[in-house]
Amino acid sequence: MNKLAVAAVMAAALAVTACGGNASGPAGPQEPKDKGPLVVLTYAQGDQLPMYQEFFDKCSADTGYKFEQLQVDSENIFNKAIQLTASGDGPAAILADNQMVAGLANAGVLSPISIGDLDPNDFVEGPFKSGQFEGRQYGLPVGNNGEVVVYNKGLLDEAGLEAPKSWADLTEAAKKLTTDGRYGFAQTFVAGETLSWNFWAQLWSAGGSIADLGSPEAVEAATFWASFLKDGYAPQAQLQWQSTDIIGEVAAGRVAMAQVGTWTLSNLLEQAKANGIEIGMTTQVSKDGSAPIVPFGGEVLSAGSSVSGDELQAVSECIVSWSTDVEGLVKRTKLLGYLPSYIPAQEAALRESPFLTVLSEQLKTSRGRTEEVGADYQSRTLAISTALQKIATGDATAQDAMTEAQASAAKGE
Amino acid sequence: MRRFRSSVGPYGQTVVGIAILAVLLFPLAWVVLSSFQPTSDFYKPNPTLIPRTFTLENYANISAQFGPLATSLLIAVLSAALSLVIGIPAAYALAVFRWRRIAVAMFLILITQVVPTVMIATPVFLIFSKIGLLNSIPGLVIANSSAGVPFTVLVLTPFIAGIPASLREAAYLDGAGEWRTLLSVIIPTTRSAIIAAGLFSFLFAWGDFLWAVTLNTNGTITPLSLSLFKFIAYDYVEWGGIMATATIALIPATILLIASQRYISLGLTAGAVKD
Amino acid sequence: MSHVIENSVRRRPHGMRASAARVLFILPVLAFLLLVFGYPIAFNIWLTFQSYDLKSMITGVSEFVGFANIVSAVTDPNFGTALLNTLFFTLASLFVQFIIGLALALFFYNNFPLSRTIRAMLVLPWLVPSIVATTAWRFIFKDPSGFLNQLLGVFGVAPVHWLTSNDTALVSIIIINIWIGIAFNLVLLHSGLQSIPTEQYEAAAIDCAGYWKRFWYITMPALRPVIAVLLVLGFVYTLKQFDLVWTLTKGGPGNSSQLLSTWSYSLSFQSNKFGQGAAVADVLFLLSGLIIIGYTYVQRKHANA
Repeated sequence: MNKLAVAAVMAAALAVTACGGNASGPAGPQEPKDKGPLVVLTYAQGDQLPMYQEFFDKCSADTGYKFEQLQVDSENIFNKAIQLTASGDGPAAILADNQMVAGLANAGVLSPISIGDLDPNDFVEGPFKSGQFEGRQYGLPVGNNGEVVVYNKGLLDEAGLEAPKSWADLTEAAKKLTTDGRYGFAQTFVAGETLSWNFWAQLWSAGGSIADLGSPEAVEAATFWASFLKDGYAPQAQLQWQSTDIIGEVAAGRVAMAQVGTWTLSNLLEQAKANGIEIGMTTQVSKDGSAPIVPFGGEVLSAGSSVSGDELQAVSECIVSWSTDVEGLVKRTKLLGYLPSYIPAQEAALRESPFLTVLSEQLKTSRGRTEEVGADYQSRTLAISTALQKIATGDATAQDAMTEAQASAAKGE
Repeated sequence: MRRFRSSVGPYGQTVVGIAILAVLLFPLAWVVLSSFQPTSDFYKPNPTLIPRTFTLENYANISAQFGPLATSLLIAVLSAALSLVIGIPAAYALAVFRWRRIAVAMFLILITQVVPTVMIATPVFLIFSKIGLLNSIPGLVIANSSAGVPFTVLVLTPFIAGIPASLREAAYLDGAGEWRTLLSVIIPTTRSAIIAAGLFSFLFAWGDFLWAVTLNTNGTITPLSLSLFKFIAYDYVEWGGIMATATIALIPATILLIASQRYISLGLTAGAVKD
Repeated sequence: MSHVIENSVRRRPHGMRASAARVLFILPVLAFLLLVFGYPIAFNIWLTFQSYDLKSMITGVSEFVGFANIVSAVTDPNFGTALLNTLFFTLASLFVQFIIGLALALFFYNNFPLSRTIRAMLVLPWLVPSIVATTAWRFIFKDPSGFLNQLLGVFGVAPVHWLTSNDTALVSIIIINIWIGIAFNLVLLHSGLQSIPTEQYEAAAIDCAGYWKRFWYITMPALRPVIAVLLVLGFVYTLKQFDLVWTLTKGGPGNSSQLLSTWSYSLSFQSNKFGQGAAVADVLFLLSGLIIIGYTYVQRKHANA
């Protein structure tokens, strides 16, 4: 066979398969689901699973429908929800990070719920709105976490420093506290949401928006946030560190200040105490030192689009009771370092975990991550984390990296 | 070819061989050793080869992993079997029938392998959901053979082509059909190559995570790699449990490997050499 | 098997014409390939030209957008980086694992005590789930005091930021990939060596040919077909490597370890830009297609020679 013939056969083969793909295309509209157990898709893990199941059993008793958890890892939950729904076997409810609600609702994976006579004013405003998309309520927050700044009190006192409030404070303190064998400040710089969501407060405090990553404000904020690593006040290793790794360094006195997730705080306090180190806590910093606008983390329990009628009603009831169950919320707070978004439960939770006071302060001025860009959030989060890593490692200037981030995020949105 | 014999002697070569093995298996040695240290030690900045504190706590709940281990073994063995059952006749056809489009067939088989599995996972999920292969062992076996089948065909084809035509003809004259020729002449002659292809197909399927997570929608089938994810939270990993599970998983796999050691290399590509 | 098949075969035992019965030999494999690869690949090519998003996933509705996705992907500054990284990653991994595999195959060609067991044990890295193997490497490369830096410290070398620096992240991942690939190369090359008739060497020994001479004039030509299969398979397997980068660096820092495979995945499943992700995957098809056409061409030339 000569070359031309090979090419022709190949082309024909490809054409045939391509037609096949065209004809069958992706999955058709979903089929109605049989009555049966109501599946809750979750990325809960370890102790969380039985704890959640205890709660869902209550829902089962209240509504007469059996609630079952289906566990996937956090990295796959979004795609899993989409895939399952596309195959006509969508979950009845999804318990996932609040920033996923917009994307899932936009794709048609969620159902609007009825919240009955629930008073929205009983919830912290930002988290309550994180269960909404384009004006409809798809779910309710079950609790919130966030990142706060922790510091080695002894070291700050010794250097005559106050807890940092502004960009200038943090930079000065980081510079002063960096010595041989110790870094002034650490933040997680792991690619993806882990990095991007610890940056948003700085972007907002500079007057920037997630919708425009190339703006001068965004460039300014990125320059600031990457400066610690770039100038050597933060360890290069933080490109691989999660909050859990960072608290070990703080507790060992090798890092003076750090921004970490609230879910690690009780662990940090315990470890630091064992080493005789006193830990101070404060909110994330802002450009001018005023109260920062901070993104909040935490999960929303929302209804899946595969349920309707009585089943949807049962799911709605379960969602409402989960989010307002004071006793359960307090219990979860303790285990996960969550603060309930339901105000009546907050006081009791703070009594149990007093170190979350900083978080409750911060939550008052918080903003949902998808408020500005809705379902386009995920492409932005990826673009910004790449850009921040580039700036911090000196691979690109802040201006270039951010312009590029905006361009590639906006493409095809 | 006897390059080292003159300088270091056979036992010297054994020493060199063990040294090479030690370097290349260092990561695995650490996996096994670290399964005896508490998870908190994984979060210390300086990893140590020998555990600082020796503990068996990671093995406390290990019996929960036996089920997933058996599932993994079953899927990998069946995948190897499937790769051979459909790969051998295809290799025979490509080698013996001398179809003119053989080059194109080879081409298509090869090109199919280039896409990262993650890219084909979603379409495969969608088509499997239409034909009812989700949440089933057969579905996972088919998906997990996606590397083994092309590999078997590619490796066996030149081997079968290398069998002298006279052998096959003798079988024909005896009145055997092509299937019988395949069974009574080709397979026995290429036995070691077939075992090697099967072994690699097993290895391709063993330890799969992606298909397990994609094609399971209700948690009924949990292979080992999927059960490992129970140890992984958003920002905290129970490394001790993972290492203990991996260590347990090494046992059947190692036994299999040692048992089949003489086939691992014997004649795998002898056919290709004959061209 | 039915008698029909046997009869048809018996009538013309050497018949080279394709018969319907003979199609049965290849039918299962064709069905399999169509199901597991054909459909997904056709789907991918179709996606390249569609405005496919998350909604489309549920509703099945998307629009034809011509070359927009391809243009977006190719004009993205990340494209050049990912392409160059992929080529470097693939060629460097292939070359080094081949050299090491060949050296080991020659070494194990000598039958010394325990040689067979040691050789079999070298396949062990394949037996741990990839998440476990990459974890072990994460601790080896850990910044600043993982095993490798501890070892370097003994020789007075300052700690290297293996996975956390633009300069070394990709190299570190190549090292792991080589580690994984050595066994495959060793096994295939070793079996290649075993099938070289010893008479050839004996004849050469009589001619007093030196080691290198024998290596170049007997060993290498005899291994040529194995090497060809090995390199093509290795190329394809390396090109699609995804897990390592994704677990260890997600393509970072910045884009310094971004490959076409990981970039394609993040476009599709992180940014939900399925069309652009598909366009990048098409580039992978193209690259492997080029190599395989080259391989087929060379094979045919040799077969005709």
